[in-house]
Amino acid sequence: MSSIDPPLILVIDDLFGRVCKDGGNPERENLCGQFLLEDVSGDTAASTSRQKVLAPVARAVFWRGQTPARSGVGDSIENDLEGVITRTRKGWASSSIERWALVLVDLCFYTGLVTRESNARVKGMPEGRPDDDNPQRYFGLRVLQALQQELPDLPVAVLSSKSRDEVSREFSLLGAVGFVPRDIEDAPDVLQDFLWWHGLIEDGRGELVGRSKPLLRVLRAARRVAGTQRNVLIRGERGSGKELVARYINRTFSGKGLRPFVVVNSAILTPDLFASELFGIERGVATGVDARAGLLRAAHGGDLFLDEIRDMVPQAQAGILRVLEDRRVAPVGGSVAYPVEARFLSATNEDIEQLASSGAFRSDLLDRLREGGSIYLPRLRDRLEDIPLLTEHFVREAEAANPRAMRSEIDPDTIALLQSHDWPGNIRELKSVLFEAVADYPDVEHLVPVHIRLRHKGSSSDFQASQDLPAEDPSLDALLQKLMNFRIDQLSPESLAGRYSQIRAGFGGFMVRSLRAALEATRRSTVHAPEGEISIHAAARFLTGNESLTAHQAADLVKRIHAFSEGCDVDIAGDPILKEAVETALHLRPRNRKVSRD
Amino acid sequence: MPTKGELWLRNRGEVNHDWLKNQFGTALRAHRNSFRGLVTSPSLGRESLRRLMAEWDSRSSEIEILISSFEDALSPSVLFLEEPLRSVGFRPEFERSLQTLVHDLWKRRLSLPELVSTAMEKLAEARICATRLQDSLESRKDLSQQVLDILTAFLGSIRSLSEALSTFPRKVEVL
Repeated sequence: MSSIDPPLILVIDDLFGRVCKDGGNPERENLCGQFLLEDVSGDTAASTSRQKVLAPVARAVFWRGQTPARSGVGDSIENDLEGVITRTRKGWASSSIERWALVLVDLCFYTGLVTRESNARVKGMPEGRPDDDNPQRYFGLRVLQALQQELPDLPVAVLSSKSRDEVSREFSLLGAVGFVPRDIEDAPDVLQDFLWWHGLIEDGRGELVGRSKPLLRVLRAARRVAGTQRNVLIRGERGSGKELVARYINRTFSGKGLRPFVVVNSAILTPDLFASELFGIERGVATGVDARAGLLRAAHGGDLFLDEIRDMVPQAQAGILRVLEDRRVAPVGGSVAYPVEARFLSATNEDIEQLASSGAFRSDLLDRLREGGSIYLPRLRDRLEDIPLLTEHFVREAEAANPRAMRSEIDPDTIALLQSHDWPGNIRELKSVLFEAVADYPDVEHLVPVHIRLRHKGSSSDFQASQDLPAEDPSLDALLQKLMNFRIDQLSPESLAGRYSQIRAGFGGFMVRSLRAALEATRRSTVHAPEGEISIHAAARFLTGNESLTAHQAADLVKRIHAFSEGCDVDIAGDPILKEAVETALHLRPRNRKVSRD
Repeated sequence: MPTKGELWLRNRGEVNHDWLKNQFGTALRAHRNSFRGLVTSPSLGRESLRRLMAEWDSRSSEIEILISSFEDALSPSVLFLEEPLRSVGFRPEFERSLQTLVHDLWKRRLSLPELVSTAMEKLAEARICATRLQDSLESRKDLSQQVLDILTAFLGSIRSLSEALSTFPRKVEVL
């Protein structure tokens, strides 16, 4: 979707989805004219239409939900539930194509034979069977039920000229988000409102890049709160884009006009500075001090973004709480209080409730800051499907910022490499890695894996810990440090009681991962395998540091690690390298299953 | 062989749902958006609207027949012509009086005269709007805004008519 494309919807409807024998569908043209839809169905009805909607509310794919889709006199029309599900899934399951923002389902689908009489009434439409028009047996309700079961998070609404009252309970139970009457006067506005409130729509400006479901859900939640003046708490790991979401809320408020957006880093609100920074200061309070309005007054009529609220000192917390209650601020040294109507968009990556319950953060302030709810941002590793779009976006941005850089094609292997990383630093880290790659290799036409320098592997806590370490490979140093400091022997027996299987699984996982790392590190290219062959002998020597280790001893080591890994979270059978290593070891020497009675 | 009631219901479905709402109303709204400059199409213009309104003339007569035939087609008195009542063997004069009683009770409980007169009123209002729209379409002057206003009024009237038609029961039943 480009920044100007309207959202994509699917319309499942027998009348508007059909194609007449002459290739057209005049009723569909009229519906598009009524709702202001651009027909992108790709069938002959769409391609032969000469209608142009100047500012479409949505791009629509029409689907009949019946076979055959193209019909004339003599054809027998039957409902096709499986076809409906397949078509819907096609535009939903993968983010490699644009997703449905909303699916609209008709209720009554006419079936049976297309006779001369029925064709004379409406081209290509069948006579209909008695049950087709029975509200209890509408095919549209079966479609809703199947979609609810197969694609439960898909936003689906009913689009019908039938009576809403007859099916209001049924469509609610079947998960439809609402009912769009077909014979409404302000059809485009109603559809637009439905899309705004229920649709999963990409950020048209392209600032929050991606079309993964977790991201689209965040954008929807942001749009829903954008229209209110209530304060919102935005939560997510560092680098996940909390400020971008706050800006999205700010600019989508009512969809019109610019509103102030003031960013406040809570860490700068020290006990000495917070009052003058937030509330402003009158001229002459101290020698050489000029008057300043302060951040709160700057946000008047707009939004104040309070970043990382856990860093806020208690004095600042109290000051902000007072403003939230009074809606007025008095500058330092001043006697006049100014009104402040601003929405507070706060951000945190901490368990702020825990901090509130321990007294480290004011719970009354927390309640005020999240009165409009919380928005949870996904981690990048939970939306890896967005990496191709994000990579494209950041590489182009980096190239635009670098006059020397050529436009480079992004190699599929690069995408695969980026998708294999767990991104503890989230989007910010990805952006940094890609900017670095473009800066280091500006004179190449292809961005390939060797250009990518991933800084660390491991969990986000490793990432946090590693940031303090000066070593060249900080994550490995941090890991080794943790391992050396891990004194299991000093833990109390009570704390270990009943947890040995978990500890064993933890160590098993560690050993298997170590083996895998050793296999990778000792991989050698050969004529037959230029990408490199693994060697359990070399890996075992590498792991033990024992150069005189024999091949059979190496095989035994691999088998022991394999046996010890039982219950750990590594899927050896699903990992080609580990699987090959274990199979090689078993082939080299069957495992000795004798039990020592010593 | 469908009964009178089944035929009436099918006719209503075809006229009200299939034609009035799905075809005619949709086409009128597309024309309105075309007059507003939101859509361009060779099939949306004064001439096509004129043809559409000619369709209204014949269909509105069908709607009138539909409304006036409701009482006869959907009355529960027809149940005496079907099993199991047909085989009961009532004396003819007793059966006639029962039929009359059932019919009168049904009419009263359904407020049938009001139902029919409301639908007829809505039809009459729609016909007035339709005539005004047809007249303005025949005018040689550029009456775009006027056509748009009358078209909007006509759309409102056919919506009311459609709602009135929907309020008629959807099956033969004893009330």
